[in-house]
Amino acid sequence: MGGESQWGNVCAQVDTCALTGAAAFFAGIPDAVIVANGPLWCYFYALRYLEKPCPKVGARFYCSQPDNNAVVYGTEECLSGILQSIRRNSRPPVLLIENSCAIGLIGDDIAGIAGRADMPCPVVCIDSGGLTGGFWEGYRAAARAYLDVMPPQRRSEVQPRTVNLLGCTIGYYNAANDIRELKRILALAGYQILACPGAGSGIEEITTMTRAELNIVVHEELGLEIAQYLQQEYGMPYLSLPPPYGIEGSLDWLKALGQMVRMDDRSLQAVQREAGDLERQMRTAVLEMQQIWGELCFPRTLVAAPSSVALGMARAVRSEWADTGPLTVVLHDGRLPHQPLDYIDMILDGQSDSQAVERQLTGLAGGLLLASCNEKAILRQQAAPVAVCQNIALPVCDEVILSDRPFMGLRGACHMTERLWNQYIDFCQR
Amino acid sequence: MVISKRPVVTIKGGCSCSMPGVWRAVAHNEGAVVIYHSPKACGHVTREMNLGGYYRSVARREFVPRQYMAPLVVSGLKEEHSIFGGAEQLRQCIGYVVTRYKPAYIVIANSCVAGVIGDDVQAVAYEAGQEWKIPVMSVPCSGFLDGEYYAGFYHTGRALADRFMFPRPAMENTVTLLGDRGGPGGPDVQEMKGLLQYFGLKAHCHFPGYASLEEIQRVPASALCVPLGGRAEAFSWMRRLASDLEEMFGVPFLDHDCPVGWQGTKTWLKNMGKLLGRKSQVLLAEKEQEQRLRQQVVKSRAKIRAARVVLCIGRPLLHFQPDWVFELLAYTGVSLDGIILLRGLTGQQRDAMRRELQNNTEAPVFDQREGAAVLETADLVVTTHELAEDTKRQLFLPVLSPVGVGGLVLVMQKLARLAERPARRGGIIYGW
Repeated sequence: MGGESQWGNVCAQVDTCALTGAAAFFAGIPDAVIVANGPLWCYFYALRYLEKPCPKVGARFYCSQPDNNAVVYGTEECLSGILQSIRRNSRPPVLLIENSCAIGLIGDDIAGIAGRADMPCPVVCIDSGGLTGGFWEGYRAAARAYLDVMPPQRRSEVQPRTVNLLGCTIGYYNAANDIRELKRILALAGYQILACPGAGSGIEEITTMTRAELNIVVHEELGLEIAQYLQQEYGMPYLSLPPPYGIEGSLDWLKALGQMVRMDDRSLQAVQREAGDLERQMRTAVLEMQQIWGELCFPRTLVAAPSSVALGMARAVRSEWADTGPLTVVLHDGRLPHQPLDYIDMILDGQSDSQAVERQLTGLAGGLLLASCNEKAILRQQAAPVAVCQNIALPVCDEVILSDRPFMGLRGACHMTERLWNQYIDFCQR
Repeated sequence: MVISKRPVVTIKGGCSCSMPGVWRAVAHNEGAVVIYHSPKACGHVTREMNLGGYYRSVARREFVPRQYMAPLVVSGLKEEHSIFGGAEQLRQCIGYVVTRYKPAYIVIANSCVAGVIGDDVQAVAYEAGQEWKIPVMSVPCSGFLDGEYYAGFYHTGRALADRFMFPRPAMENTVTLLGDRGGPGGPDVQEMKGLLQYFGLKAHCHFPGYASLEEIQRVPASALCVPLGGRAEAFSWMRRLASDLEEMFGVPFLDHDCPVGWQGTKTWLKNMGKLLGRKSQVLLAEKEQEQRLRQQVVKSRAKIRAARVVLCIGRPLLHFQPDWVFELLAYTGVSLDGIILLRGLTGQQRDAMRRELQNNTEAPVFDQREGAAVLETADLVVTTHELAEDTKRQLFLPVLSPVGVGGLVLVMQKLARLAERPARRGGIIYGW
């Protein structure tokens, strides 16, 4: 563990800009409008990133386009123009104005400019350029700023068996399918979801989210700080676990949740029944293939993704999906776990261990790679063929997912088993 | 109603950043390392842009395994550097790069943040070069502030020329291609090489990108430089680089952008013949290229001729010269029912485009709102921006104009394929 350097080759790292992360949180609020107070280049990048999961976001994502003069004399003129246009053409429930890094430095009073523009909705103003950090820092800053400007109701009544999902975002790969599956298995286990801020909930749902019995942190690198804040300010308990991957992983996740809210074990009967059916179905299909193609077995495995995804997936690989030799995990956001995990042989900080990441990728011949297209490209550039490559994180340039096929939950376990086996069989025939 | 998928964006000024231009200029130069003096996020944006290019090259079978990829290291400016300056951070970063990568040279690109802070990057680069005894160059642009992508690209080329080139005797019939256009393996450069062959010329260098130090040093020995632009902005910077090289080493250059369209190709051939004093080769080249074009026109015309076409333009003249599109449509025999200027253009950009259109066509020109009726009845839409009406069959025009007859033929083939599609299917075909 540990970073070799604060520098390293960024071509071996995966992140975006805080501008994108902050915009991702607000893009996940229906009809919220976003203004990037910065150059078009940074704006276009964030827009392109978000357009993939959220194709219509372009209609509510604006850019002030400051020029050199604005950097000297302030951005009021260009920003006011955009705000007037928004005021004329829409009535958003909330507006985010996010400063890019250079604009953040010049110290404009953005809130003052927004106040003078007399916007018909609450306005959240933050600095969210690269100086703030990457995607995760931007998302967290935006979520926290939202809660400051639009605080939820005080927690007076608590509805039993209700939960919120924190740290979800449309900015993760296959997120919409995963969130849908999470909600489905939670409903199957008898829970009602009140809010999922940053991933589909409107401002009313976020305002009343304090009625929930428990906050579930789905992606810790995004949602833990919000959960801690809500605990501190509103007395809301939270549960933070790696997301549920695999059949066992999903059942364990639901059991841990049940213990936290003192749910009767019988509430899991429906989920267990479905899990049992799926396991039988998968076992039959896989055994048939095993007789022909042998075991799903890899000399090495590398899992690279945002930390919650990578740690959760690594556990499912080791305990459910395949036989593997040494398993290395690369955490894109560099958020290392507090204690060693016995199912992982090596953990690398994706933000600072780029040299070690490249070494691990080079040594992965014939192995299993669960990662993004960035790691796949490095492998291909080094002409190091692996057996199975499965995209689990952005960026993704070589795959289309149109059907409702999650990675998380029971259906996700089925889907991943299917993908790994089919790719393995394909590899055997190459 | 005509709706561009990005209705809220009007490009008022620049839309790119100089730093990716610096990176692209030396990304495949053996021994180069690029440092961004910027927040880390800027490096990630470039990396992702490069990733798209990488997968496009894989898709087109142009990918070269183990091709050198210059490490991109970011100094990592943070909030505290805005108060105390980032020069020391950059010094340490250079030290790391020298120790870790042992580069042949380092190029530093400045971010807008470094520009606002006011770090003297040139001085840091000079001192580092003295300390580490390797060339460390900086580029006088600061992110988006004073120059865009091509400015970064140009200044990097100029820095390499200043540092590594010295006068050499000219090697007969050798050419240096100035610019990128997808690199030596890409179809654009292949097309150019095909045209150069008519004159007995051989491209022995590609500059500033895809060049080893040895190749960079060979540039002054070129008999000729040929700029590869593709649009007004790109050409102006590549022309400036060519002009610099002429001034520094006496290497003449063809003062003409890439051959675009058939008329453009003929002019390019004529200019080249005139420059070299080889007019007979021009006739042969014209004859063969025209034949190549005619063959495709015959095939495509039958498929496209009856189509009613609307042209939608949302790029300003600086980024899109439409003349080759009119030529293409004329060859295919379509009826151009109208031209719609999309809302993304400012009033000034719209006026300039209208004036340009008057020189090329008699087709009626509409603003976005007025164009709904003509779009409604169109069979095919040729457009610079994706339209939200995905029931319409759309040909998305390439950002860089296609090179030579080969480029024109490719777009024509795509238009023919689009015309053959059942109308109800709609959809977009990308013209590159």
